[in-house]
Amino acid sequence: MIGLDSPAFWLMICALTFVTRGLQPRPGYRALVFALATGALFSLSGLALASYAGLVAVAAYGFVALRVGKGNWAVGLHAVGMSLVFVASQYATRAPFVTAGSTLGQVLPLVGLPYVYLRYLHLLVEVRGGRMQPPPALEYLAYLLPFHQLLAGPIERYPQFQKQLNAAIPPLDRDTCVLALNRITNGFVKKGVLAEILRSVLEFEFQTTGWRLWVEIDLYAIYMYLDFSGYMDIIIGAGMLIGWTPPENFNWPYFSRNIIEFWTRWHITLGDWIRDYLFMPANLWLQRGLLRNWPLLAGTICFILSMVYCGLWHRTNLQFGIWGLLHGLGIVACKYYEVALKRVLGRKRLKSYRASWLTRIAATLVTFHFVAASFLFAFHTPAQAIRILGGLL
Amino acid sequence: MSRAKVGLLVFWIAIKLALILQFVARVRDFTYEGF
Repeated sequence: MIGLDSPAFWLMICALTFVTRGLQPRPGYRALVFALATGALFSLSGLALASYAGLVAVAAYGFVALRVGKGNWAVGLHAVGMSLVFVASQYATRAPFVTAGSTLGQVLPLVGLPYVYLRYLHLLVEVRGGRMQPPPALEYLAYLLPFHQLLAGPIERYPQFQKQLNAAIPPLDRDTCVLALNRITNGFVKKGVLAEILRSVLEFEFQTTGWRLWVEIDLYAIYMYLDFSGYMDIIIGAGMLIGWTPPENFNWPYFSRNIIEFWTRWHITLGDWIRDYLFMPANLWLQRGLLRNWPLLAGTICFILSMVYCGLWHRTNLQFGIWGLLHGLGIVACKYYEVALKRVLGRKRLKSYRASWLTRIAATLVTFHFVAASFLFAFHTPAQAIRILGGLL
Repeated sequence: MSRAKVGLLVFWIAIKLALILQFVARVRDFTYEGF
């Protein structure tokens, strides 16, 4: 049995990349080949085919829901329906009656469902909003369950996917091969070597105190970045080889000067999704209605709700809810600080304040340490996280 | 890309591959999770 996220699993992804490429499918057949590749990944790895069947069943429900009903209520109803499926699967995975050998234990966890869920909501809103045609079945399946983006996204938008799917396969020339292999090996070094060294040396149990603990918390944040961005490097490199390159998801996030900027440089596709499909519509709705005269309050509520949703999407538990809440509060604090600075300094002095290197370095350090400390709340109970942070004093 | 740049990149890829293989060879269980 091959474990998820093991070296053998990643070798299988690479092998499937070359097989998919080798089949040289014509545009009409590419979706079929990609869908079959996902099935092959499930049947060859530790993921059971039953789990694939579960994901296909969720996709089938979504496929029908894209076409049933009219008006805004249908969008709301289907969005809630898919959200319930998502939440139920998250809880069912942890239920005591779901044992490894049982049928449910085979079907659950639905690996990649969080990404299927957000990709689907994007489709639902765009199709129902009349900005897109409902996709054909095979393209829809390939889009929702891409073999190389199965584990951790990114959340690609359908038009980008469709553009690449219908374009002629780019030639596998010398430059493409070298750039793709460079990207893939970057990913393996980050994820398989550097992150693994950090994990095995430090173990991240946070038992130390003082400056050692400080270093451990910082290195934990760096470990998270190396692990996730290494994954992205591998799948972007693999995508270059098969002519389906996923969008970039990281842009040196720890060099962000505030938490708002951080979310445009860390898990970029998630940040964009939250902004476009949650924050903006909710903010617009509040600013045009209930909170017409309090735009800042409307923004505050929407930022916090959006980030709590973002946290719960990662994992439906209290810890991730608090992690999301902290990021929401961080964003709100930034907004209020900006408003206060504008009032105190005026536009001209604010511009020079922003341009100052000293401010930039200080703001970047504060943001990085805030993000690093917030990870503690995501993976520990609130009491444990506070106890660990208390060790810094 | 120029041939010199491609050559450099190939050299860099080879170094990384050697590093990865060296590291993976030390892993006792090749199928463990949390790579």
